[in-house]
Amino acid sequence: MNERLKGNLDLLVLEVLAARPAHGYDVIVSLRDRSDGAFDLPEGTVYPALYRLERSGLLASSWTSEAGRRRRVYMLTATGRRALAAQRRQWREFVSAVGAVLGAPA
Amino acid sequence: MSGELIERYLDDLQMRLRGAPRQIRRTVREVEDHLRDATNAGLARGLDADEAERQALAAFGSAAGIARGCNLSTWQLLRSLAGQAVALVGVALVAVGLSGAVTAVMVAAGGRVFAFADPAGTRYSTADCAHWLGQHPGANSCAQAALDEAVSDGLLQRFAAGVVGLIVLSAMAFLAHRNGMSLRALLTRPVAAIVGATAFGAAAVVLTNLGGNAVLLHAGNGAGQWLAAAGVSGVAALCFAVIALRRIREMPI
Repeated sequence: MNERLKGNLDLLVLEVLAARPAHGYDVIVSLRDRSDGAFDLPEGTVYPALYRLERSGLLASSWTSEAGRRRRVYMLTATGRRALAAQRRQWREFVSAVGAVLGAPA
Repeated sequence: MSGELIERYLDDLQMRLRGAPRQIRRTVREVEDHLRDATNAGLARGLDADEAERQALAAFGSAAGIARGCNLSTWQLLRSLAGQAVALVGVALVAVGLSGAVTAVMVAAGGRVFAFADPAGTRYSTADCAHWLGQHPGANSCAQAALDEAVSDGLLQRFAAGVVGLIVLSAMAFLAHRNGMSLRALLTRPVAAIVGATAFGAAAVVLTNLGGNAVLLHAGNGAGQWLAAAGVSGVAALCFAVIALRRIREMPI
């Protein structure tokens, strides 16, 4: 499960951040909660993904102050929203194709 | 809560991270925030302080693994630099095309002599004259035919370079998009911005010098083509310089 998750982590991170800007801990907690605990990667792996997506121009980030603590908050850029829409479409096509193969009689 | 386990983990992570000190500080600070949040969540679940820290660190993953994920590999670095170099070549070719458009305006406004003519008294070989007069039968002298040739070739070559540049940039935008990136992100990287500002700035200086010489020493003959290119280079250099300055503020000097 975790190996498959790693291959799709960028899509999932973008999806979580599409709902609202969030910091790294928030992203990993959202991933775990939204998957009912199924996605349980080492929490630190979210940071390389966030940095990679930011370098690619799909995310932007800034320091904010929350309850007196500085936090790095990430948000989708316009390019990130377009990339997410494209990746969602590709994922659905892939799932549909795999489903069709698995559902086919042997 | 001692926090000692987290402190030791952060020391280990910091030693393993490579890159600009500001980026390393940022990563360490974010990881510390994360571990404090996770520890607080453990305390809220009723764990004692040491156990909450231990569980937070176990859930986070090893410092070696996180550092490996955050550090760019040599291959990633080379691929990124190659992409930036090709994108910059595309921008340079588009700039040449734009300089062709500006030169065309100069031809219309200032005349063909100002835009493309050779200095007065330039001597041409018989073979060149024969070739140009053959290409431009309406010309009534070799100098006239040379000017006709310079105008048509000069504009055509610049526009062709611009079209090639657009093709290169479109291809790079497609490849960047396929890799989950944007062309803009590629061209606003610190190295691309600094190289772009330096190269276009140097080009603007050289071209302005050529245009100035044509104005001062050759009564303006042919100054237009150099000044048009200098103007476009100057604007490009300015754009890249603004981006570079923004990026430099995020980096150590």
